[in-house]
Amino acid sequence: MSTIPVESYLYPEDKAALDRINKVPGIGKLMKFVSKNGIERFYDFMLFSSMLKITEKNAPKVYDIYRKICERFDVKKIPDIYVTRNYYIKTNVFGVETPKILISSTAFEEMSERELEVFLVSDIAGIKAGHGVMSMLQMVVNSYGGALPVPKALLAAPLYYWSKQRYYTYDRARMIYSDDYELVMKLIDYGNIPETAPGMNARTIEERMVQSEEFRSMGGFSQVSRSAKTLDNDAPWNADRAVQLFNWVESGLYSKVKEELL
Amino acid sequence: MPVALKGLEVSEYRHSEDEKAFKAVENVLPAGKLGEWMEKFESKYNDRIEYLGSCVRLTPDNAPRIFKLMDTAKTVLDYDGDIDLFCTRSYKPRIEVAGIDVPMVLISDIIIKKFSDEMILFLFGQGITMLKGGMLKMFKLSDSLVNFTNAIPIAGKALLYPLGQWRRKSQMTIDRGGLLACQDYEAAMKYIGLLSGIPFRYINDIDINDRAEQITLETERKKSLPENVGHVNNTLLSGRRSWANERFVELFNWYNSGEYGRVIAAHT
Repeated sequence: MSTIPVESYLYPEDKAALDRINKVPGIGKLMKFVSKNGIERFYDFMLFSSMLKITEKNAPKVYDIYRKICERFDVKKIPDIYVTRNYYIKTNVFGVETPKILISSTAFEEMSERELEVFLVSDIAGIKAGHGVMSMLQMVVNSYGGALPVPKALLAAPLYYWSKQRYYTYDRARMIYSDDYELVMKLIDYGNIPETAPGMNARTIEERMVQSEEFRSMGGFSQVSRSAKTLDNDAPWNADRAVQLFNWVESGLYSKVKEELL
Repeated sequence: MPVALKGLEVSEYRHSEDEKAFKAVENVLPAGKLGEWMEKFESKYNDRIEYLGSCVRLTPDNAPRIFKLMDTAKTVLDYDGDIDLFCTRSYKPRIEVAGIDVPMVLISDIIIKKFSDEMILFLFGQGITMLKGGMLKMFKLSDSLVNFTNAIPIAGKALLYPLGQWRRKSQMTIDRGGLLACQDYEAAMKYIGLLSGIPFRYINDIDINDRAEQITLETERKKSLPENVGHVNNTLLSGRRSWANERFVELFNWYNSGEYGRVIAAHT
């Protein structure tokens, strides 16, 4: 099976946001500082101290899946992956020199093997897209932004914006990897509705779109309130993710990308 | 399957002190109007955006069991309004109710996973009672006043007192609505036991009578001065909902006094 190049799934606004951040004065210097002065090592130490690193020995099945995903995305050096106790189903990637992945334990408890595989795609795809560096930067700015020589808001605002865009990249990467539209749609809302509920199908996707449309068409003060809330979040609304994926697939753009990859 | 209580009104099972406090608050201040305005604003410009944007709206297709249970609760309590039902990832064993013009109920995924149908009916019965009983406006007022009154050292507490008092008593009415919806005494009492910290795993092992005795003994015990001060400060002046044990005793007494049976008999 051919490898999946980053250009095929990188959401254009994600790329644009990454480019904009890289142009912010001082970013290069800040990242050098982070890398040279052991800040990344500090986070590594925290992970080693309190989280479980998944290896071939302690979770052979999961590790096997993980290795398979790395191969598809042409990631030669397999990044460390840590599991943490959390009721919310989450995953994140960060790191400048050595990108690492964090995943919540509930993902292992509640997802089927196939769901977990497609869920994990996001972080490997993210590493290839340069998300590890940006995530690291976001952690540093959130923790120590007040002490930096540049105003915190100057860095935080574009980082929050980028952070929202990356999820659209993840949904596309999952789609290309799995070619399973209903599963990728399900993963967007995963956890918000129990796994015992009927999964996504044509009918429930249609209903999801009706809900998303109602959300996106809010006018007047609702729109103002929604915009203010959006600014404050570092993840997009699920309603927006569902619409973006729907549009990408239904417009035929996804099929075109798939054809090019064959 | 619980029986439908045709023509049931919240006033028939409203806790007497809830009724008194509710009227007192409405009479003293233009509280009803203010609370209603605040609830409408908050539900439209905050809750609905959050629910539509981040949660999943439940439908007969994506959640047939839960959707049917809501329909049952509406029929049993004779509520014919529409309710938008949403689900979100949360470990909280409670529902959230919002919206006067467009009522919405938010249910946690943990409830769907762990609760029996009867317990879910109990929760939906609570929600419908809040809507039918016009309680949302008062909850909003009380929530908002807590933040405001905390900034005013003593007078603030005095302002909060009548609302706090109402809030605590209204919970008794809400629990009664839950019991009327599920018509399963054990499920209702076990649910309240869960709120006291009994783990999900052991929920079916609760001995209701033993627990009622334990709580009654504790509440009837003569308390020292510091205990009384703590009680007044943390209950009457805090604006929070009633303690789970207080709710347990209240529902236990209401059911065993025959009041519950009288309400059911009047509508069947």
